[in-house]
Amino acid sequence: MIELGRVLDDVFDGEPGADGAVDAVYRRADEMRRRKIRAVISAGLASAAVVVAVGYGVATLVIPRSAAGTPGADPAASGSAEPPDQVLAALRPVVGDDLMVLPRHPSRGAGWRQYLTVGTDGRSRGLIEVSVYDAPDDLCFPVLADAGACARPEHRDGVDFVRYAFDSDVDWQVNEVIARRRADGRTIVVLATGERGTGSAAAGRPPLTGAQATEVATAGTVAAAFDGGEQCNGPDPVCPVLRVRVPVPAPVDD
Amino acid sequence: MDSDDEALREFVTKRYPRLRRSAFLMGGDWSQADELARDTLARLITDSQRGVVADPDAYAFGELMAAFRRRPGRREHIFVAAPDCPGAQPRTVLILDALHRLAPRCRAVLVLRHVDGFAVDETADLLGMDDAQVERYEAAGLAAMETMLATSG
Repeated sequence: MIELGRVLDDVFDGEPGADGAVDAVYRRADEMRRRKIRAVISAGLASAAVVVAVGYGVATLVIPRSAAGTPGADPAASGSAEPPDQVLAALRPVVGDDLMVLPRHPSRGAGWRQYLTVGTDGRSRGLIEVSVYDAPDDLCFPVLADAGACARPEHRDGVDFVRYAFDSDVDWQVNEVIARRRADGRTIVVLATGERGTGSAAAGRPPLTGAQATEVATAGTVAAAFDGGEQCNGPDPVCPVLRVRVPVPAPVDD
Repeated sequence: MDSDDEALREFVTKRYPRLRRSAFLMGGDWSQADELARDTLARLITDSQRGVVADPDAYAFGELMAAFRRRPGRREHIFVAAPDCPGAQPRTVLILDALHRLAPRCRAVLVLRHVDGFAVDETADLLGMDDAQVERYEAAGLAAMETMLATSG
């Protein structure tokens, strides 16, 4: 068998010298390191620019015009047409300091309000949608497992309510409360939807617990925040799409 | 300069000629071999200083062979002798020509086993093959080289 090592040795007869090669290798390594540092810094700057741009875009979308106006200007004092949001005022003490609640554009319509929630880490924690319906005395609170059955509601301060929780799909977790005032049939629905598609039970948790959603839905101030003529009974495409629909009749045109 | 840096510099000083020779056998061009050996060792230095190199020899020779896999193949091999040296000897050209008629992986096995002195399992790790493949390539390559050199001899 051929002795390849010895045969190939002949090939190296014409090998060029290697003077200064090691220093050249080290110079090249320094150059590579500097290039890598520049690339990391450039990537960091680019990321920061993207974060700033996205932050600006989000702020422009979610902060209401009254809050984004002239610094120091009081919308009420300046005669702004936007009335104070009483639903938001009722929500904020319920969620406490852990979440920031901001009106989400479009933030309101006839019979509904919607809010974006942001955690202390700056991440979105999902949506809170509050809507109002006129419901009859014999409102049948839906039972998820049985379309023909009515749920037995709980009671608080003259309000009948039922809570619904959806947490089996971590990518779409929802807490919903339907609360009907016995006095006038005004029915408040609070829909708290966690951030969608996080793949994590914790990250996708709804911004309101069932108890918090109940507190909001049964608060007299929230029902009072809607004008008497506001309601989502009709097939209004802008009203929130509920996870559990309120079985109310559509309004009859006069 | 601390002891790690000294050891690394010593490694680079010793391995540079070996790497360049291996690169020359793989590519048949001393200037290309020089370039690849410097580039491989420069990457070895930066990665060693980041603490991500476990075995410098495996890293250096593995990277060198990977560089040849990434390079586009050429239909025609041109062997370049260094200036002012007897590199253009007919025997040298014949040997390189025979070596370059082998498939690249076969050539890599012969270079790592018979020039760089790696064991079969080490060669298999460097080229991402199993031991049996290395042995098959080696046997086939040696037989082919023997035939070609005898024919041209």
